[in-house]
Amino acid sequence: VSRLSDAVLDWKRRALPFESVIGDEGGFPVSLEAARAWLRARGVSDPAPVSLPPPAHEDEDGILAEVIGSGQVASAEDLATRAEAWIDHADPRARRAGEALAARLMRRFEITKRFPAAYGPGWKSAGSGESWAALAHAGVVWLKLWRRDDDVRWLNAALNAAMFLLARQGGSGALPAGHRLPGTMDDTAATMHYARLIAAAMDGLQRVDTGDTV
Amino acid sequence: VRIVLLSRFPRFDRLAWKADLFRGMCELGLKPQAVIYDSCSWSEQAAEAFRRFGPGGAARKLLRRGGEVHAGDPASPRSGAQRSVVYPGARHGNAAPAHGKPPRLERLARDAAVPVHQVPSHNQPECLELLRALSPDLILLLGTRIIRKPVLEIPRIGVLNPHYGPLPEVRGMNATEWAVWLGKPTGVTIHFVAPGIDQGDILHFEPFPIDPGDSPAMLRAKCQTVAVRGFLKVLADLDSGVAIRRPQRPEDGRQYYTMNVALKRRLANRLRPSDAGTVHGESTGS
Repeated sequence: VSRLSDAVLDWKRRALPFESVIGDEGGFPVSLEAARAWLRARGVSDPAPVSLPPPAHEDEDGILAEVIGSGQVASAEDLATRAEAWIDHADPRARRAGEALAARLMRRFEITKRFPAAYGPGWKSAGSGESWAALAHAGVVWLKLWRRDDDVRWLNAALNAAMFLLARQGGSGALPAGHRLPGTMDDTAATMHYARLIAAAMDGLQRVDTGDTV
Repeated sequence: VRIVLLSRFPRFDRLAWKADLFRGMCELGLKPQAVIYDSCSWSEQAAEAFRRFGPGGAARKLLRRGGEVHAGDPASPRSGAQRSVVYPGARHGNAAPAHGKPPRLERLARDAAVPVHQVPSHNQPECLELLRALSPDLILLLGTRIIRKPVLEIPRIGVLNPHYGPLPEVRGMNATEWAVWLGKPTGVTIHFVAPGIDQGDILHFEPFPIDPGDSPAMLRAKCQTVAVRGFLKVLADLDSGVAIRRPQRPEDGRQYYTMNVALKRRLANRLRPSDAGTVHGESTGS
């Protein structure tokens, strides 16, 4: 099975430099310390969000139209970046917009188990390509919202995203950056999102186990 | 009252609660007008698993036959232990033998001279035409894909669905598991289906307790038993004109999605009886 999986996905796989193995029962006993070490070594364990001005809109459709602007589509990575920037923004309007954006991305992924690489007007996926690195980035945002709001749906979505990605690993532990679409970000950025998501998701599970949820 | 059942075939057709419901309806004098299946084969499920879990994940899912159903769990739906939970509590508990497989709904329907139809999808024009020709008063959903608005508009009274959790608090997937996680009542809601997820008027809610030793699979089995009872009560009430519709406000609840397997495992651990014999069903993560 793992050889078939490797063959199918190898052309798109990005090396993740730590041991990661699918568990016997769908868990992911990836080494949390290894993920943290990878992030520490690159100084990105908790990178500051990009600084962005608040959006003019707070609803998901308005935000998307704003992000698309004069272009044709909004990339999933751009949307995840904006969500991360806005959820901790000093302006409450930006925080509401960030949460609306994160909720829209969560709903899309949870219902369809797909994460389109780009969206056109009306949240229609632009093409058939998916960006799994952007999914990992969105998962990081969901975990931040879980810690802020204590709404277990955010944690659940992030765990589902982590498992979705880990289910696509090969025997080498490599994770794919995307599917049917050339990667839209460099290897380091993609790997950083994976490591951040996995480290934060496993940390979240530990918090659930200890009752230290917030 | 003319009632049409929508279900899936061949998978999910040999379920005791569907047989119980069919027999209960016949006993009430509300024999279904027809059963309409859409297709749900192993190959379609495999394709869906491939899309959702990737090649390796799909293979593991299929080899493990379901993922969250734990091998060796006495409450597994595939074990005999669960049947002893389901059947004695059912309103029509003698619908299935204590051992062996429950009968197929399709077989029961044919034996009762109820027409059985199969369509590619319940939302496709072929099914819409069929439903319009049947002109039912009610449609009952017995585990289908999401039903679109054109279908909802056909029956005179409406489309009924059993939701395995409290509404409006817990909408969406794995409602039983989320209700336990959140410390909300476990039970089954019978509601009209409206556009939006689990947002139609509520007709009936029956709670049930979590007993020491219950696992998530056993809670689901209890839901099936309670759903049959709820369906039959609602059908009888609608037939006699005493049913009460209670509108729900979506803002009073939240939509939940498929519970992650890691959380499910923790939920199962919480449900295990403690030394004092109490059940850990309270929320710590939400």
